[in-house]
Amino acid sequence: MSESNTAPRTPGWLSVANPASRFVLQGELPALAAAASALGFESDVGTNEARDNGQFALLWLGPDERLILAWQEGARQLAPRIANALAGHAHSLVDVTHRQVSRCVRGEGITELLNCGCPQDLDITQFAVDRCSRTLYNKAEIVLWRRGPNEFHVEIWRSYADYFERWLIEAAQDLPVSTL
Amino acid sequence: MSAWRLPSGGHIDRSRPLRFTFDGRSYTGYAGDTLASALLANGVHLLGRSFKYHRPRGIMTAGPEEPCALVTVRRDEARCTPNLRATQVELHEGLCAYSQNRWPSLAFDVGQIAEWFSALLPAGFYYKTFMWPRSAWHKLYEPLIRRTAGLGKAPKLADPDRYAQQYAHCDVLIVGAGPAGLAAAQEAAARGARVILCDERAHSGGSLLADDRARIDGQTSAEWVDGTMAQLRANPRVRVLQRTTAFGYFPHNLMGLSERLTDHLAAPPPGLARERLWQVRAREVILATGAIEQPLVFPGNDRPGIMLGGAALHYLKHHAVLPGRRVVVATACDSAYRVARALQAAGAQIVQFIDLRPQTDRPALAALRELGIRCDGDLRIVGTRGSNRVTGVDIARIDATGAAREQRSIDCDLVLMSGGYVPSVHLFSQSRGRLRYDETLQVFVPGESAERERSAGACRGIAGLADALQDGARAGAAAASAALGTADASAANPAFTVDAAAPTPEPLDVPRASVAMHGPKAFVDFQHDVTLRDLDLAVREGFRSIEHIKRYTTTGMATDQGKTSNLNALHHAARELGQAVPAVGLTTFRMPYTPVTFASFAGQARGELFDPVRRTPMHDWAVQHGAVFEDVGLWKRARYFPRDNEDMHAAVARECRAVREHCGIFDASTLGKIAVVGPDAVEFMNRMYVNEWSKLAVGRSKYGVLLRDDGFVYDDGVVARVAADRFHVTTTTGGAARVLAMMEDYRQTEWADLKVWLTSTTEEWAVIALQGPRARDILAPLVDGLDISAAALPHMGVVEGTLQGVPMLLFRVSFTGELGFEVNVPAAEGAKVIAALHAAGERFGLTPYGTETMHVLRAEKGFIIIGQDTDGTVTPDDVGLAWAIGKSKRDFVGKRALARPSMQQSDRKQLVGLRTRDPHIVLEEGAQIVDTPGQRAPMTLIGHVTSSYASATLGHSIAMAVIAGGRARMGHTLYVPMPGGEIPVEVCSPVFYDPQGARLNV
Amino acid sequence: MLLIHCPHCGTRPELEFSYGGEAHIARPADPSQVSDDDWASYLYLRSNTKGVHAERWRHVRGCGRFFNALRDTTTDRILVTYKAGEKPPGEAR
Ligand SMILES: [Zn+2]
Repeated sequence: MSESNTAPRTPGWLSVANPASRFVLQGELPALAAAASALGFESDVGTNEARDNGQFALLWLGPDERLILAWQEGARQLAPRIANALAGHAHSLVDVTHRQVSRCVRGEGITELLNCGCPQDLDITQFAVDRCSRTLYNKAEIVLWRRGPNEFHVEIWRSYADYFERWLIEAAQDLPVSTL
Repeated sequence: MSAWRLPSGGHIDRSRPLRFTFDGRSYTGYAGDTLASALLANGVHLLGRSFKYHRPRGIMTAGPEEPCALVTVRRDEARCTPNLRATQVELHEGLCAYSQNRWPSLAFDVGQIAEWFSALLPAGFYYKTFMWPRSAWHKLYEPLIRRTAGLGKAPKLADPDRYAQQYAHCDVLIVGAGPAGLAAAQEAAARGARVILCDERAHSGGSLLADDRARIDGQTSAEWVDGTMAQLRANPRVRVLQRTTAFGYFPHNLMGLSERLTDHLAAPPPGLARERLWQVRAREVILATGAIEQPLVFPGNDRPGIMLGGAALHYLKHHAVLPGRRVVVATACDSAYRVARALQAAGAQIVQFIDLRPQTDRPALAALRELGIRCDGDLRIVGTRGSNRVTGVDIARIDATGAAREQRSIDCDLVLMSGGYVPSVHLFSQSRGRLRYDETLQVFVPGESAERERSAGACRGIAGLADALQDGARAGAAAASAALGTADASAANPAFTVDAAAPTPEPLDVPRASVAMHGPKAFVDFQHDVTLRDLDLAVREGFRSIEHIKRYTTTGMATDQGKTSNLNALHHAARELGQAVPAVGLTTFRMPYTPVTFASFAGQARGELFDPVRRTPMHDWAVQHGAVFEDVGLWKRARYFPRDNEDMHAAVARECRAVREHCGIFDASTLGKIAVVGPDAVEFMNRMYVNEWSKLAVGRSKYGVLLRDDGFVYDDGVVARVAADRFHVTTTTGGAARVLAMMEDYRQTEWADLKVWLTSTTEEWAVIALQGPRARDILAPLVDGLDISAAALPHMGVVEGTLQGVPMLLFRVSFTGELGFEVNVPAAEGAKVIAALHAAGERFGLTPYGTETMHVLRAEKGFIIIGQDTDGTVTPDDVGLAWAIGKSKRDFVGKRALARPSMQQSDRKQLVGLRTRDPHIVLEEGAQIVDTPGQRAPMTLIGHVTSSYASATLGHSIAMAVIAGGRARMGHTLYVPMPGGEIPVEVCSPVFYDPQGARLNV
Repeated sequence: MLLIHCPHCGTRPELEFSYGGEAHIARPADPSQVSDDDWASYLYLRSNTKGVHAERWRHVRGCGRFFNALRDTTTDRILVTYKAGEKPPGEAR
C-alpha cells in the first residue's frame, strides 16, 4: 500500500506559526495567577481569553487549564521559571512543545473557511479578537485563537495537522480566501 | 417561438434560446425555463409513468410539491440523477432528461399491463397478495414488483463531483422569499439583525412570480421584489441563498439547507462544488413557506394535461407558456376564477368552468359568464378521456341519491383543478410545533411553537397579499427584537399599499371531503398511486388510526410527504370513519422536505478527508523501508516490512527470527501516553489502577492494569514514576482517548478533592522500541555516556538522558520477551533518531519489524492484547493478571465488583494456550471450542480462540483462547469444529517461549 | 444537534460535548461496605426517565469539564445546566 503523504501546495493564507515551546499548566486559580504574573502578565486570563505579551502567550483552555506558548528560543528556562513562581502551589506543568503544531490562517473570508468545519459562531461580534477556544474542525480537535478580524492562530495535535490543512485547502476551492 | 409560448411577457430571456433533449428528442426553451415549463412550451405533457400502475403522467404542479413529473437528468454516466421534479429542474443548454419507469417507451409501456391487473394491487397488496406460497416471494413476486414498481435508477459509478458543507449562524433565518419572507427579511435587517434568507427557487418572489398585476407601494411586483432583494444583498449582515431548500428542522433551531450550486449551469466550472449543505443555527426562525394548492379528487384525475390552476397561472405568468388552448376549469374555491380570466386573456378558450360547490348563483360565476365563458356551479367531473394526454372530460350533476344527471362530454386539452391552498407546515411540524385545525379554512395551521420560531404569511393561513406582507414584516421585526434583545417590536406595523390577490389559503364553504367524486382511478396520492378506493378499503378492513391508514395504503409517504395528498386523504378518512378531522389527526411530517443527495450529507468527508489519517513522526522512515501499513484506529501503523518478494508470512517469520536472534526496531509511537501530575498523583494512581503504586520508586516502572468499576479489564500499559508527583502512564493505542476520558471522569466527579491533573502526551513523544539480544550493544554508544548496563538500568528501569544530544526518556521494557528498550524522544526528533539508531544497528543485524511481528512475539510470551484477548467481560484473574492486584489496597476501580461471587467461579472463561496436534494448522481467531468430538449442532461451546499465529521461532503454530475452567484443563484435548472437520488441540500454558524469563534479565 | 450551555464557557453546539449518563449517582465512599445488590444497582440501574432527567455531560472538545443538565427527554429542551458537584436547582424540577 503506498501512502500519499504530500499535502496540496500550501496557499498564501496558510502558514506555520510554531512557538519555541508549549506548556499545559493546570492547577487552582492562585497557581494560575502566580504563573501569569511570572510570565509578565498583569493577571490571569479570563474565560476563553488569550493574551500575548510578545514573549509569551497565555490561552484559557478551561477553568483550571492554561496553554502557555513561548515565542522565543531559550524557553527551556521557562519550566524552572514557572516552577519557581509556583512553589507552594499544587499544580501540573507539562511540556507539550511537540504534541501539537501551530498554524496561522489569515485572509479575507477566513472566518467562513473555518466555519466549513468549526461549528462555533465565529462572527466577530461573537468571537472577538483575542478570544480563544478549544473546539472542533470536523473530526479534529483544535484550539482556535482569533488574532485579528481576519486572522486566527490554530493549535492542533501534530498527527491531525495534515487532515486540517487538506480540509481547509479543499474547502477553499468554494470559498476563496484572499490573502492579506 | 413554439406553439405554446406567448410572444411576450414572463421572466424568460427570449434572446437566450436553449436546446435540450427529453427521451432523446430535441427541443428548445429559454433561459428562465424549468424543464417542465420548456416541455409544456413544446406541447409535451406526457413525462412519465406512475409508480404502481404505470399510468401515463404529466405535470401537475409548478414547484417542489410535484408528485408526477419525476425525471432523470443526465450529464454523463456518473452524473445521472433520478427522481428529480421536472418543475424544479432549471433548463440549461444541452440539458439531457429522461422519463422513468417505462419500457420499451414512454408512450407505449408494457408495464401498464399492471393496470389491467390492478385488482391485484389494492392497498396493502404488499401484505396480502404475494404472501403465498412463501417460496415464491424471493423468486417471483419480489423481482417482479421491483421491476414494475419503483422510480428512477441510481447511477452505478462513483459520484465525481465535489460537495461542500458549511456551518452558519444568524439572528434571524427566514425560509421562503415570497412576499411574507421578503417583508420579514427587510424588517429584520433594518433592525440590525444578522439575517439569512433562503428560497428553493432560482428567483425570489414566491407567489408574486405568477402575479404581474400586483402593485406594492406603487411598484409592480417584479420591481418590488427586485428592489427589496437589491437592498438585502447590499447589506453585509444579510446572506441570501437561492436555489436553497430548507429540508430539515433540527432541535434548538438548527436548520438543514441544501444549496444547489451548479446543476443549473450548462458547463459547471471544473472543481466547483455541486451542492452545499448548510447547517444554520438561528436565534430566531421565520417560516414563510407559503401554501400548496391541492388537487381535486375525481375519476381519471391523473392524466397528463390535468394540472393545478395555480400551476397553470405560474407557467403563464412566469414562463409565458400557455399549457393548453381548450381548457376546463374545475374548482372548489375562489382562486381559480382569477386563473380562468388570466388564461382567457392570454388567448386560451375556457370551454367550461365548473364550481363544485352547491351554490349556482355566485356573482363570480356571473362575472365569468360575461366574458363569454360557459360556467356552472354544483357540477362534478365524473370521468376523463385521453391516453397520453387528456382529450376530454365528462361532467354531470350529482343528485341527492348520488346518481349522475345531465351528464355531458366536453373536448379539451387542459383541465385545471383547484382544491384550495393548504399552508405548508412541513418544517413547522418537523420542529415539533403543535398544529391547530382551522375550521374555516379546513386546514391545519401552526399552533404552539416548540422552537424559537414563528410562521408568517400563507403558511399560517394568512390570506391575501397585503396581509401576508404585513404579517411578514411584523414577524421580521419581532424576531429581530427577540434575537437582539431589543425593545418589543409591537410598534412595527408597516403599511403596504397593495393591489392584488395572491394565491393564498381561503375559506372553503363546503366540507373538503364533499367535493371528492368517487369512481375508478380517483387518485388521492399521485406519487404512490393511492386512490379513494384504497382509502375506503383500508377503513373497511378496520384501520382506524390515520398513521395505520397511511402505512397500509402508502399515502403521503416517502419523498412526497403528502404535499398534495395528506389533506384530501385525511378528510376522506375522517368522513369514512365518521369522525371530525382534528380527532383523526394528521400524520407526522418527516424530513427531508424534498430529497437531499447522499453526497451532500457526505460533503467533503470522502477519501482522504473521511477520517483524519494519523501518521507517526517516523512514518516516512517506514515508507522508505517498504512498510506495508494497516489501520489501527485512525493511525497508519507499519504492519510488516517485506523484502524482495516476501509475502506477509515470510516477512513476519524473518522479522521474528531477527528479533529473537539479533535485534528488531519498532515504531511504538502510537501508544497512548498520559502525564499524571500533582501532589496526589500516587493516590490517584492507587485508586485508578489495580496495582500498588506507593512503593514504586522514582526511575522505576511497572505493568499496570486498569479495570472499569464492573471489574472487567479495560486497558493496560507500562507506568513509570518519573518524579515523586509525576507518573508517565502508557495506554494501548486504541485506548488512549477513552482511558484519559475515564480518568478525567473519576478525577473531576468522584475525587474532585485530589490535587492531581492529567495531560495527554501521546503525541509529545516519538517512541522507538529496540528489542533483541543486541539491543544494548546498539544503544549504548549513542546515549551520550549514560550507563545502561543491567546493573544501572535493570528491567523496568526508567532514566532520563540524551541520545546524540536529543533529550530522551529511556525505558527498559519488553513486549517481546527479549532484552528491550523503548526510546522516547520529542516527536519532532523521532525521524532523526530512528534513522540514527537504524544506521548504528545495521552491523548488529537490526531489522525493522511491524505490528504483525509484534503480535506474534508477544503471543509467544503469553502477553495479552486488550480488545483481542479480552472483550470487556474478563477479570484480571481470567487472563492470568491477578498477580498485578495490590492486595492491601482498600479500594480501586473495579475492586468491589471482583468480590461478587460470580466473578470468582471456577468455571469462568480463563486464558490458556492451545497447541494443535498438527503443528502446521493455524487456528482461526474467533473459532469456537468444544470439549468432546463429534458433537452435532447445537454444540456445547466452552470458549473461543482469541489469538493464533504460526511461530517461526518455535516451529509450530500457537494460539491463545478463553475456555470455561481453562486452567483446570491443562493437558486436555479439546476440539475446534470447522467446516473442514474438527481440529484437535491440547490445552497448555499461554507462555510458549522462555517461561522463566531468562532472556529478559540480561 | 442540540445547543448546550456549558456552565464554564457558555452555549456551544452539541458536537463539542460528550454524554455521560444519569447524574447524581455517586460512587459509594467505601465500596467494601456495600452489598452485592447495592453495588449492582450502582453499576447498572438507571431511571430511564420520561420527562426531566438529570444527566451528565462533558465539554470534552471545549473546557473539558463535566457538568450536569436537566433535560426534558420528551422535548430535548435543556432546562438548566450546573457544575459537577452542585445540587440540581430546585425550581427547575
Ligand atoms: Zn465548557
